[in-house]
Amino acid sequence: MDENMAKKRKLPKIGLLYLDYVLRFFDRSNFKGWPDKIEQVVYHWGNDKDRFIAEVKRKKIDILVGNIPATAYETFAEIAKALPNVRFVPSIETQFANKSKENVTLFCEKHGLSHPRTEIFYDRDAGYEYLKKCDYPIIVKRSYGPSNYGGYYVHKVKSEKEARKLFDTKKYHPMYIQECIPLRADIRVMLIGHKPACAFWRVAGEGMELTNTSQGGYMAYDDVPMGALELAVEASKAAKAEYWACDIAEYDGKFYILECATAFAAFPYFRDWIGQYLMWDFSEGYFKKPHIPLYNWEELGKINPSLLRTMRHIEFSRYVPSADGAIYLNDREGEWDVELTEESIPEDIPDNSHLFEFIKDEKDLPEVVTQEARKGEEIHEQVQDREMTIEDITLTELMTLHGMEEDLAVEVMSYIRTHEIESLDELAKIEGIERQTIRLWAQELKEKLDINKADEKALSNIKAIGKKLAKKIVEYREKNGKFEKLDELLQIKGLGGKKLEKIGRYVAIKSKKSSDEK
Amino acid sequence: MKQLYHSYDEAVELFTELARRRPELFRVETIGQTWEKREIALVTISREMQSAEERPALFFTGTIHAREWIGIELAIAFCQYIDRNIDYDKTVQEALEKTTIYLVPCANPDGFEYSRKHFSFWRKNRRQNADGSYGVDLNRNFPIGFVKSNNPASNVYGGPEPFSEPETRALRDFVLSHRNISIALDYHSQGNVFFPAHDFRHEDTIDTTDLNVLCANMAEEIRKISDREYGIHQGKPPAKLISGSGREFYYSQGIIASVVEVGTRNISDYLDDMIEHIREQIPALLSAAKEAPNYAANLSMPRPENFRATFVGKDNVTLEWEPYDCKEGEEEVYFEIYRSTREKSYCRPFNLMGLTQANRYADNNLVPDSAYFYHIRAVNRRSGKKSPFAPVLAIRTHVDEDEFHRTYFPIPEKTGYVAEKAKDNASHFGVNSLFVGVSESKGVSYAIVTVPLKTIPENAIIKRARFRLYPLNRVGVTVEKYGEWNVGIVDSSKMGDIKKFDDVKNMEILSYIGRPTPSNHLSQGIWRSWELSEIECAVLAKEIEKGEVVLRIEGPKELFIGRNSQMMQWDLGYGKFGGGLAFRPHLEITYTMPPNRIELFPKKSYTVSADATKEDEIVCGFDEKGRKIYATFDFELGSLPSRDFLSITRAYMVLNPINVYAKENIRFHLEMIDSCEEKDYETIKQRHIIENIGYDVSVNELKNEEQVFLFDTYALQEFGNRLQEKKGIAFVLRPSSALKLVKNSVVQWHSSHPEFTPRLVIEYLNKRRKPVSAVNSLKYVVENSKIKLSWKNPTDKDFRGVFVIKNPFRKPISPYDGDKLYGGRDNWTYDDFGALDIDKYYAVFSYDDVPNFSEPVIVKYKAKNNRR
Ligand SMILES: Nc1ncnc2c1ncn2[C@@H]1O[C@H](COP(=O)(O)OP(=O)(O)OP(=O)(O)O)[C@@H](O)[C@H]1O
Ligand SMILES: [Zn+2]
Repeated sequence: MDENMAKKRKLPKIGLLYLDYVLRFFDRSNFKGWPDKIEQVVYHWGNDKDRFIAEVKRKKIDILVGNIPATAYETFAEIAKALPNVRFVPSIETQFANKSKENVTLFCEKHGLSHPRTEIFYDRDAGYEYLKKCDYPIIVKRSYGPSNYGGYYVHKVKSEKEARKLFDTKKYHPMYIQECIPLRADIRVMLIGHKPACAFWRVAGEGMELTNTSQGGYMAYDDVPMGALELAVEASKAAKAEYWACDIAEYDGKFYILECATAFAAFPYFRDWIGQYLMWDFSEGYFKKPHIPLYNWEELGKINPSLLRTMRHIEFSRYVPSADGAIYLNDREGEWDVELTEESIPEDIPDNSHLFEFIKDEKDLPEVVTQEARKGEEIHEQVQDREMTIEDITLTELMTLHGMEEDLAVEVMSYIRTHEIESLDELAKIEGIERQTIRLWAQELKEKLDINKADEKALSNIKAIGKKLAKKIVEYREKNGKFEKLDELLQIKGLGGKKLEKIGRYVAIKSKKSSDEK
Repeated sequence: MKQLYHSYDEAVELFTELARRRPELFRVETIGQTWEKREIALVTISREMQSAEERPALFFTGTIHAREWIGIELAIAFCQYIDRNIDYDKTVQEALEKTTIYLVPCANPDGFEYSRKHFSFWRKNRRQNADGSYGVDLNRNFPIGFVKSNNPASNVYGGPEPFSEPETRALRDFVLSHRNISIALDYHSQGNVFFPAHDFRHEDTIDTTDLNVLCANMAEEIRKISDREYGIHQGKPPAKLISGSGREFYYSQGIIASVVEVGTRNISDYLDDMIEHIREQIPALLSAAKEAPNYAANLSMPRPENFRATFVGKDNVTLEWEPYDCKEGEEEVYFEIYRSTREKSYCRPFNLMGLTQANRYADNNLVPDSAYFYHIRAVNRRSGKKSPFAPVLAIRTHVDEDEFHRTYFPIPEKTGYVAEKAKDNASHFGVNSLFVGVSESKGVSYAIVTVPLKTIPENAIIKRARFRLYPLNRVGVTVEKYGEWNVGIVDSSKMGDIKKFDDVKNMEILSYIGRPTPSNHLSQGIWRSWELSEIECAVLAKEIEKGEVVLRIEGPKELFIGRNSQMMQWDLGYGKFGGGLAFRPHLEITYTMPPNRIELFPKKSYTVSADATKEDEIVCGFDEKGRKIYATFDFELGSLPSRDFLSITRAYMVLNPINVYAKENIRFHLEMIDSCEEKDYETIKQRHIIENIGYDVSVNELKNEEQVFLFDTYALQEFGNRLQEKKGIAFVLRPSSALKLVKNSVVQWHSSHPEFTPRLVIEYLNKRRKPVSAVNSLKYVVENSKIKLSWKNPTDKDFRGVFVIKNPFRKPISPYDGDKLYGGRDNWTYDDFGALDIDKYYAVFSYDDVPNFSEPVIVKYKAKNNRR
């Protein structure tokens, strides 16, 4: 038994990813009960990439946990490539939306997530042209920058004239222009493992624009609409995020994502929850997953108002940033209150007011930081999506599959670890998993069947193929040997180009004659 | 138990096969995809597939609730039936002649499969909610009345927002893109009841009648097959109304929509029950399909307007409506008039009373003091197309000449139920529903209903009576097909405590009343009546002296294995769970009284012959020349009570012959005429006959025996009129013969003998014949968002109270033509649930103790912002 346990318990090596000048989100204390040593690796900006990579390797880190600020995003995309065996948590792809508003838009569009209509112009002439014909008011945002503080670079613009003036002076590039949703409040939803763990209304102060939340305003924890939670869950699953936050607008019964990211201000107890969740994920179910009931946050509304005021301050103060990007401090170590978070009860939030004076304004940032930021400005990438493959799937990824449940995910995970899986169909052996469910997962995983290995049954499970065609394919294969190219399928009677296109989404050539027959 | 049911894939396979084999008749397509990526199948049945989309259509949806398997099974059986029968079956051919049928056999395939394989009781779809729980109740996910909820784990969780689910979006998109749909039926289990769409208001909608008739016609088809009676219940406040259902969405699109709740279990015994349910629903569906063209939005003929009763008598009624104003031209259109004796009735050929092209219809031969319901629709003579129905017209015939009517409501504190296992039976009185039957949790349960008999004379003779209960719910309290519900008159002199179970159980029953109601006739939303026989009426009459009658209602007392309830819930009409006045149990009594009797003697009698007029002598026959000899006698009516308070129930003349000098072939007739001064032969010959009295008698029948000439109804009426006008009345005795010439043939009658002198016998009741004055100063105000009505009552001493009636469609002329809001002596009432945003009429009728109803005083409520 001991040996078994020990084997099962072979845990990955965790490293915490820190950056100089950046507020630290996690701390060892958030991983209470993790039996092994937790390493720390600090990125010092500038030409620190290679040293950083070497340190991770030297420390034999399997998982690197931490948020990457927008300005370091491109650097870390490179670092991750150099460390293919290290799992970044959240993954570089998951953190895609952290980098810029533009990325938020790209992310929403790619996954069909409801988002205000947004136009992005690299060509200023085209942008100014657009300003002539669009409906006002509009919302203009700076897409990317070393810091994005509480709506400081978000403007509500009421006329073309005003818009031109804004772009003339601010020179925002690209021009990020968004439909203005009439709001007095938006909703922040924070999720852990695709489940809303905290949510609240952010209400603007009397006579204030919501885009400029530096003063006044308050938070309300009650009656957060389910539609907002559902949209946030959808986004979290799309991002395959271990933890996640969304700002959501509601208008006329519809919900819109304004912003989403893995970096956000959170109470210490909340970071503990994330830590516990990550331990469940990293240990593949060995550690218990925290149980966080929906609407637990409504209880927050009942706690001491003076405390709440402090918390509101964290969210809305001009100098204390919120959801996106990181939080810069002039304290290089970036260690402020995190050490005070041993006990995960909300009451132990420290009085942060002393910190405000240390937090930097953008222009005061160290040169190393702003320089690196400029690098990121040039790169506008496609949405990245980490292909989920059954071999190295994580629990958080499994939990994005429709109909997946926590216990089942752990079960599936242990099956995957103990079997060489050729086809997802094998999962039918696990109690409670249906053929239809597997079909569905196969689509979501975009796992393609090996056309040279799949048997008739597996092929016929694919809707586009069906029973008859599956039979023909297998017959063809038996007669003519393995497929070299997918086009060969066209030789089969009744299988045309259109069909092939459809089928191509589900099958691939994974094993070829030569290599296989050796 | 589940083996005989089809899986979703098997079902789709069957439909696909049908479509492959008969593409001209069936088509299968996909209208969307579920969360688990199952295709939602839609089957089209049409006799002309190319033009299917142009034909008016019936839209069938099934199994939107996963565990309610009837939908998918019925869809399969229905398609197979069409396939088998269409070539020779007239009913099928007619149903499809102009109609397309769209079926979504299973609107919730994920949930259905989950229910089949894992958890029979599953109801929702298989969305994964934000909290990790599963499922949205698809029938709460539509926008009309959508309710937000923070409890995804709930069985009726409606989802984060309307149309958040792919299944409901598929239904929406299909319906919005198929404007030819005119009727939608959503199949559920269980309850044996139709739930037509509603608009969340208390007032009927303009098409409530159409919905009810459609359902009632289907119900009648069902009854034909299984003798099972289906209820019909359109939800109204204050009852809790379901929100966000598909039905209300379809309805909001102008579609006649209803839910059909089939059977008594979700997944019923296939061979015993499911097959029967399917069999009974097929003809019902066909009858609905046939109606689809009549409700097609673009083709629809306007419904007849202002259908009303312009006269209501004791046995007849005159109906009128506006002349038909439509482009098709009047001569093209005729009207169908249906009559029935119960609410929410069908309109089938066998209760079609008349067809007319006029805008007036008189219906006769009605039973006095009885409720009647009339339906009318227009028909285009050429195309056969029918209009929707005018809102149903309800009337009650007046009581007969000798009759009085009472409707008694229970005494709340003496009305309730007692259950074997209930802790505090006394607490059920006056506040809860009446639970009757047996269940695991309650044990055997009886209801006690105590009805006051206070305003009815002790010597009353009860002619007819019925006890009525409103079945509230058989969905929650499922009822299987066994057992019966009986009502008995309790011997209250021997009974113990009506609030103690044992005492109630041991009550002695003097007589059960009416026929028992078998379980398959219990139907939600349709009144049940126990009609008393004459003998039972006599038993009831004996209770009058006690001032009240105690009724005990009992149901089955044993449970079937595996079932935990065979319990019926009846509305008490009081308390916060009760539906109020409109749904209160009641006892309706029609009674009469032993008559008063008065005998009148002639002021004078004459014999009038061609030669002479003789006083104080009554001879009648033919003289020596063969000329007629008449006898006549005058009565003064001054001694009778005032006609306004007198109801003549019977009248007859008695004559006694003395001598017969006549041949056999002579007969004598008694005629009633107005009395006049002149008694000469010519005047008598020129007389105006008011009416013949009784039958003529032949010489043979005389034999010295007393002769009785009975007034018929018309004669009584005419006599009454003379009485009213204080006119004198006279009778003429006239001879007749079959031969051309008869001579010297006479009969002499007594004219002054103290015992045998002619007498006019009148039996009568002291009964008001005219209503008391109407109320005045009727007005309404809106107070606390409720409409409050007030009026001034008349001061007549016979004033007993008022009826307040509401009708959103027309001025109610009969006190039964609308929702009764109030009955009693107050001079104000609230319309507690009335909607403020629709126009309507309120009518107040005052009544006396007969009751005679005054003309209505009517006020029109004008909505501030009319939403309909
Ligand atoms: N399209 C929009 N229509 C209306 N209001 C908007 C829109 N986009 C953003 N806002 C408002 O402006 C606020 C700031 O926008 P956003 O979240 O994109 O910027 P931010 O600088 O990251 O601010 P924060 O840190 O407060 O989220 C939002 O919280 C929202 O209330
Ligand atoms: Zn249902």
